Amino acid sequence: MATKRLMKEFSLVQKSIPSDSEYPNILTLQPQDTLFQWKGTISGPKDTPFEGYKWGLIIDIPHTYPSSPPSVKFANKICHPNVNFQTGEICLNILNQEHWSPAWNLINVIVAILQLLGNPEPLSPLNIDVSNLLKLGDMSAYDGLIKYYAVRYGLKDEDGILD
Amino acid sequence: MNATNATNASHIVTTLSPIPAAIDNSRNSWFNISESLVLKLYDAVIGLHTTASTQTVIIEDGQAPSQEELFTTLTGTPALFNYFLSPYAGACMALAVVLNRTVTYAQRRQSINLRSGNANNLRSPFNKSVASWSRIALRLVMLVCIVNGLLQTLLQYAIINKDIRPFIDGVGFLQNAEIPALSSFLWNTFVILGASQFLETLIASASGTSAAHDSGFTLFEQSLAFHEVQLLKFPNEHILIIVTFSLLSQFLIHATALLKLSKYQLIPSTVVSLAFLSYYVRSLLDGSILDFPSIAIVSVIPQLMVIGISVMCFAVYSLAVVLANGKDNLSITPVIDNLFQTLNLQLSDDFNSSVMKLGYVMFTTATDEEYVHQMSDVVWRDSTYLEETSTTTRKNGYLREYPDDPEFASDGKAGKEASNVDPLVDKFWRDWSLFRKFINIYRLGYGLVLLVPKIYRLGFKKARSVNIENQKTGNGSTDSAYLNNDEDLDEDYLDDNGSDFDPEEFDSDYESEAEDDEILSHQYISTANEARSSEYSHHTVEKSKQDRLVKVSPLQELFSAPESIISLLKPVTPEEITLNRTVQTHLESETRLTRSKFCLLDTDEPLKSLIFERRQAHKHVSNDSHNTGNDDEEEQRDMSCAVCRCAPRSIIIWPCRCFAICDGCRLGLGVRGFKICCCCRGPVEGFSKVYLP
Repeated sequence: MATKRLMKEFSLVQKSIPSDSEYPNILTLQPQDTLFQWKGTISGPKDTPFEGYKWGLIIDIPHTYPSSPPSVKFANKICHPNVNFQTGEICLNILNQEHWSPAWNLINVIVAILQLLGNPEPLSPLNIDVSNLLKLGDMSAYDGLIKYYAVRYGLKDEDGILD
Repeated sequence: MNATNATNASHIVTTLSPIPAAIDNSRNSWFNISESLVLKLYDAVIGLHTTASTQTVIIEDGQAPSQEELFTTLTGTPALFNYFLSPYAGACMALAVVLNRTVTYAQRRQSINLRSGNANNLRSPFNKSVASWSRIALRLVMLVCIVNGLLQTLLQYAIINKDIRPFIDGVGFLQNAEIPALSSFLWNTFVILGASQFLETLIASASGTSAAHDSGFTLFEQSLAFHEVQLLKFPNEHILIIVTFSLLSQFLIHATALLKLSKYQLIPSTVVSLAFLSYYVRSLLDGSILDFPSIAIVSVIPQLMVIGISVMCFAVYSLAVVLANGKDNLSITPVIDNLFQTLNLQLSDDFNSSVMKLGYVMFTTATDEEYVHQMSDVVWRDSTYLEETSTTTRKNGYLREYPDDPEFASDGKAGKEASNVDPLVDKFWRDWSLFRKFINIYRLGYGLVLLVPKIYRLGFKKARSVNIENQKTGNGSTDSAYLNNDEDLDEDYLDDNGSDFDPEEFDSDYESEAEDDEILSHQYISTANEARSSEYSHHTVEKSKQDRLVKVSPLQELFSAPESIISLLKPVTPEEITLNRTVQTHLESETRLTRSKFCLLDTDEPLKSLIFERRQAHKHVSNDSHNTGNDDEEEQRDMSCAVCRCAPRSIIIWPCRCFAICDGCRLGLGVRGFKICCCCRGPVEGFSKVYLP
């Protein structure tokens, strides 16, 4: 079931990702050697401190997909209250088994991650320092820190897209 | 009885009843054997023949019959009755009671631990406390008794066959041993067998296990058999074989229990039983079967049949394996491969019950396999019966074959159309329609005849109203019958007229000049109504007033009780639903809906058109996707299952009514323990399967 469904998703991704209109912030999304290993590139959403920078995503899909959620990690370091700075692990409820729904697909997951970039949840932090800044309301420090790390670790244009 | 006996002791032959002697003459004739068998069985039950002949023999011999023998061979008493008076029957009943009570009163207290399925855990703490030495001692005593019984049997056998006498003499303590009479030997054997069974039951109950079953003959059968043959002066081979077989089975039970090998009881039991069965078959083939006691002949037959049928089945199967080039091509192979799991054979069983299990499986698999064969008859239809009717109606009648389908036939309209009716019925219908035509012509004539005065009256009425208007002030209402009536009555007439039929309709019918028979009959009825109502007009005022009191509106008539109105609003039973639909159709219909018009309405029409539309759209989409690639796939994807993205959606989740998944994914989600709807995250209380064309 998983392979068949991933084939469908692949054809859906091929149709919808290059056309910028629907998902402008998803730059690439494609499977690697197998259909159970995907990589993607996203750009920071508008009106967020992440705007203008790019990050890579590594998606591991379990063989029980879509009954179990895929595991998504940031490929390069990102400073975000709900992302582990060292490992790139993302704290997102729909990526947990209990909140995951088999009706979602990979594009939905990435859209949810893009949403998370714009709407951080400081009450369940994986990066305590930056979430404390957010909790205390020091927005200039928050924006500055994010931009600093984005410039330092984010994908550059000359890097091209993450392969 | 064989020839050597006859030469050795001439009186042995005379002790026999005449029937086996007759068999000696024509031993190979199967017909005679079966005839004699029936006669023997009859004798065993009614017993007049055998007992009488035996008794005369005894007297001829000149030996005084013993008390016991006299007791059991009263002249003319039926054998069955005879048996019930014999000590065997008494002993058998007594033993039955004793064994029955033993199971209860010697029952060991058991710990009931249902959670642990391990039987060893159940028993081990109790078995330790049982005095094992006493069990061993009891069983050893029993074994000695049984061995003694076996030796006695050997001594009896020596009477028949002198050849083995030297062997017996070789055994020290049997040398010159006195050979007891047959009747006392049988009685001793029976006592040994009974004691052995009692002991086994006692020990098993006291140690909390179940008693081992003796395969072959029961105590009752043994007592019957022994009773039947005890009157013989000398033993015959067959009864000795039965005695040996019974003793040997008991011996094996005790011996295996003593050696703690009870769980392998099936193996020795099978060996002994098969040996006995082969002896039985042998004597069946050489015709000496009648020397067995009747009960032994009868009680072995089921076992023999089961084994025979099983062997036959396996023979057929192995032949088929050879013919079908390997067993994988045969549909019964899985059953045969799993035969031992199905049988649930245990080595602790006895032979008899294993054979019965085998027989049961052999007989029942045959019926189970029937269903597998019928699988090929299952038809998967691409279209529903609605589509079939809609496509076939467009066809030429010559090309339209009515499917022989119960669902289709139960559809009333289609059933009527079906032309494959009985020719007699067909003829009847043709005659009937001809008759109807005549009737209609007659009605036409009659209606016309009635119409003439009607028209005349109508014209007269008009004239009269004109008359009345003209002579409003005058008192000219005295001429006609109409004018004799009250105004009240006149109103009633009009009332009646209005409720029974529509004057407009009548007029239109009248104008259309009635080419059609159907319309004509309507017209006839309406004219008849007219006539009737005009007759009413001659009645008195009181009568019409009474009528008015009794009169209820048709709606009230339909729903006399308030419950029926509720049932109309919330129909539950099929009848209520039909009524609801009927009333709804009547309310929705723009014109007056007669019964025949309602019958003409096709209630399946909306469903039919929906299915057709969806099928067309689906076809369209699939054609397009073939032509233009993936462009229309997105459209198609909309109705595919949200989880697997391939099967069509077929499940509605309640109460959120999300229609998103297929049945396979529903099962998957249910098994994986998802509790919320995968679309809306609402709770899931249940689901419905829907069919989407």
